Amino acid sequence: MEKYYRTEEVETIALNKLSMEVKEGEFVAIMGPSGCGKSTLLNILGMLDDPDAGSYLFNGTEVANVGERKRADLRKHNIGFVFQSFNLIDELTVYENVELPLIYTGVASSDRVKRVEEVLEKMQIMHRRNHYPQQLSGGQQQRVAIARAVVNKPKLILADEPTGNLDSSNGNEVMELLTDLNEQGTTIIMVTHSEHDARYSHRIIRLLDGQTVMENIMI
Amino acid sequence: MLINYLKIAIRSFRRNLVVSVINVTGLAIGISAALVIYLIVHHDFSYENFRKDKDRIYRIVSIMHFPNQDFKNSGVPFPLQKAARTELSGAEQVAPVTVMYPMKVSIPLAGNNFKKFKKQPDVVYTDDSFFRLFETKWLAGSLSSLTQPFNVVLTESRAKAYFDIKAPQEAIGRVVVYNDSIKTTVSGIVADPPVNTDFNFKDFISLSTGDNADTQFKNWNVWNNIDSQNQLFFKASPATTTASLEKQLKELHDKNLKNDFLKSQYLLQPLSDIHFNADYQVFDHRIANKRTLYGLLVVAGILLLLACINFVNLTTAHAVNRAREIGIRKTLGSSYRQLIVQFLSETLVITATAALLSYLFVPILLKIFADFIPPDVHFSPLQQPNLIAFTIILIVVVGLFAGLYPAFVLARFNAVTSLKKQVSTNGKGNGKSALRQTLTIFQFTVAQVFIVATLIVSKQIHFVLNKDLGFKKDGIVAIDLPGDQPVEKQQVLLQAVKSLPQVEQAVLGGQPPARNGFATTVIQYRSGKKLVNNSTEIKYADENYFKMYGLKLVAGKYLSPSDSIRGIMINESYLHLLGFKQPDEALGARLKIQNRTVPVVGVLRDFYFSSLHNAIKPLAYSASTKGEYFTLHVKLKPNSGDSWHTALSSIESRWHNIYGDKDFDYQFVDESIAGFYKAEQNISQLLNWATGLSIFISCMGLLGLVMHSTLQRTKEIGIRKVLGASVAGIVALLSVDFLKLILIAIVLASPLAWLATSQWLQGFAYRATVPWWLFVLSGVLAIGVAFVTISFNAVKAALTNPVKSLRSE
Repeated sequence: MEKYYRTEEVETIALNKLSMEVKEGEFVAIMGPSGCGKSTLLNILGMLDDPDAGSYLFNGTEVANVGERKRADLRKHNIGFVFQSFNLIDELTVYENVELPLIYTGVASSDRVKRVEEVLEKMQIMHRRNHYPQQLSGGQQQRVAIARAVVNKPKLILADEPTGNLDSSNGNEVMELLTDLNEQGTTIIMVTHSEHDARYSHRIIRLLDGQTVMENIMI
Repeated sequence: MLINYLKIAIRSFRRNLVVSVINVTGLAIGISAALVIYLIVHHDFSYENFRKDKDRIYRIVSIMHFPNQDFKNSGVPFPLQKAARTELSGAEQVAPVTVMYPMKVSIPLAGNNFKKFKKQPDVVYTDDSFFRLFETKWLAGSLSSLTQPFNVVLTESRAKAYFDIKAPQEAIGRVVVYNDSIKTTVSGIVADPPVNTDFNFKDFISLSTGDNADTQFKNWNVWNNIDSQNQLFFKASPATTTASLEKQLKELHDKNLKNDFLKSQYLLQPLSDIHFNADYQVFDHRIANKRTLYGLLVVAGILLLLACINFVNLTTAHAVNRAREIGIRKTLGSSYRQLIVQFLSETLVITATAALLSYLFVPILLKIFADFIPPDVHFSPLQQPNLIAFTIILIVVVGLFAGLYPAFVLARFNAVTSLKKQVSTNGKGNGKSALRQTLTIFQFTVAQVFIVATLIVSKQIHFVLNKDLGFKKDGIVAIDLPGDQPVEKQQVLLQAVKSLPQVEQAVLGGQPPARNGFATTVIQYRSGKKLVNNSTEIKYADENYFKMYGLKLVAGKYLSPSDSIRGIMINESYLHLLGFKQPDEALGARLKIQNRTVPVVGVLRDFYFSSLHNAIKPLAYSASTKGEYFTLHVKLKPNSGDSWHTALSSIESRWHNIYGDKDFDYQFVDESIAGFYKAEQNISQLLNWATGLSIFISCMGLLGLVMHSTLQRTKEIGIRKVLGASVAGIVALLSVDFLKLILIAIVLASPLAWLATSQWLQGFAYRATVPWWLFVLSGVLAIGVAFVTISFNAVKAALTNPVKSLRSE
């Protein structure tokens, strides 16, 4: 895949003929210095952005340059996102934030209650279900974000520095949660600066200037 | 999903309270104005709309072609009422109605006592055809109730006012006496008419009563007399055309009026026109003005538009605050359409809140405009499903109008940039920013047009109310004298009033120099071969009257009481019409009035005897033929304390000593002149409010934009202050961009306002000048108000400690 960012005077290459494959059930960490193209890659993998050239096969289907509606549809049924800054909606409670993906996928109201409560229990955040994001600690907010990411039982979770805003104890808890999810069959691609977090993955892909420079298989 | 949207909408409302309050208040004002105007417009346009076959119902009206003007009259000659019935083919139903002036009503009680009503309005003579034409619900009696003479049908409310009854049936057979001479028996009771009809008569005396020798109508067989009392309605059969009916009416006219000195013509007035056409009276009821109604709709539309602009401006300016949420929603799978639906739902929630709030404002507005609003207009939503439906339509239309553009802007945000908070809607050259500027200019252009119009209308009203009319009008009371009393009593009253200490002068005369209503007579003047034939207004007075009112004599002498058959006075306009250049030349000229010829004995300087809408017309003054007048003119000494009130009480007391229980009606001359301009004063009041509200809504929007701009520039303000910028410098920095927009608005608005008001001023024959400084003053006012609005926030930002500004950044 190739991706460029252009202004009137400058063209920056974000992804330079990058090629990679992630198998179902894998836990892959992507590492590299700032500006190497990690987030761009994650946005394309998450179908939030399109590559300028190349191909992206998701589950065997070509998704590069498909329309917005189709991408939104693929995204909501197959992908969960976990962000460094949690990205919870401040105006919604914990319960409502987690419920949101189910609303977009058209899950019936009675099923939604069951599934949200189930995932909140699993993330041990049920007691905070009626709180707003600002009333929670960083660790709790990230658990809510993970709950929201998994409530739709996605095939793939994309995590963008999920422990970046957390202390080490909360960070470890989040990594344990992701590992559990992976062990239950969910594919995880995680962008991180932390070697410690990367060690939870099966494989580390290292990027530099928009290209893969090294792959480490974790044993 | 919708519940989720509603939750977000309500919580966003709370979170952005200032912006939300600005949006809701602006929309509530616009919606309130729209609801009040809807109530007025709906009420007036619903008149007679409920009638079956309304499109086939007409009134026959008359037009008289006088030498220099036409007179329109809602009545017809009395004999036409009968002739139409027998000779007009194609008329399915013909209903004659003779409308009576308020009548004295007496209800006989036990022991030779009477229950009396001094002046009962809405009394008519008619027959069963009226009820066939205007279908009415009978509560007692039937259509045959009016076939016999001296029968009367009453409405339920009127029957209850006359008799102590519980059921309508109980009134049948009871006696009602009109004007002490027409004794009738109640033969039927009908339901009260709805409020949206002009045909709200209450007492229907059988038409055949008027055929009786003792109670016969005046001019019952005279074709050459047209009185608005005698009206004629009919329903055309479906196949009949108006052209064929008017042709038949012309034939009837020509057959019966061989020598028609009135030069009359009969026309058809559709039922739907009756409530709106000021050329013809509607039984002395209020006549609605379609232009005013359309004007009101425009005002409502403008206020709503200004409020919608606030919404668009503030929502797009603050869109960046919603960027992260949009990014998250898109990431979680929300489609573009779902986001649009979400933001539109939010707009609808805000609009619905504003509509609810407006239900509190509407009763207040109805009170404020009580003088302006038809008395039957009321606000009770639970009984007005049409109002509820209109409110819902308004919520949807305003919601879509205000919400669509911001919804598209927000939904189009890119998910990735939204999450990174890199969305901008404020940069220079940014399309959305330019749109906001354009909309702000539009808002202030509208406000500026209103400001200029208000100033010009106020100036014109001040001009017409304070212009020297050519006669004295302050402190003069005109008291109507009863026409059915011996003339000697007038002198007794005159002397009694003159003796009062508060009275400076008192005279008997005809109408005051200026008053609504007039009577014209065709006057001829022949000089050699030249014939001047003119329909001229004639007033009646003599020397004392002219002196009291200070009417200036430019030639000859004032009329003395003995001049009634020996002379006439004319004004300068008439002098010129007759072809004289100098006033002296007209003295002795002989004018033919009906069958007599009288010389001009004096010429009066022109004075304004009607509204300043009209140019001064020819006018003649004659002395009363028998020395009797029907107005007592009293000049009071300057008011000190309560002296005028005391004087009027004393005059009334003397009046009752002389005239017993006759009504004492008086009017200050200056107040009756001010009444000429009631419509303009209403327009002025409406403009004041429209101006105030448009400025208020626009300034609220401006405040919201300034607050947003200040917030965006917090860091810049902090850095500038650290580098030594003064408070005034910061305020200027924040104000200048907005003030530029106001200046553009002033430049755009001035010619528009000038054009609009010039057209309005064309309605006046005499106009105040519109000086250039008035536009400057309006501009200064607009800039002043805008600057205060901007400063409210800019000064606060400029005074903030820069450390705090930089830290918050």
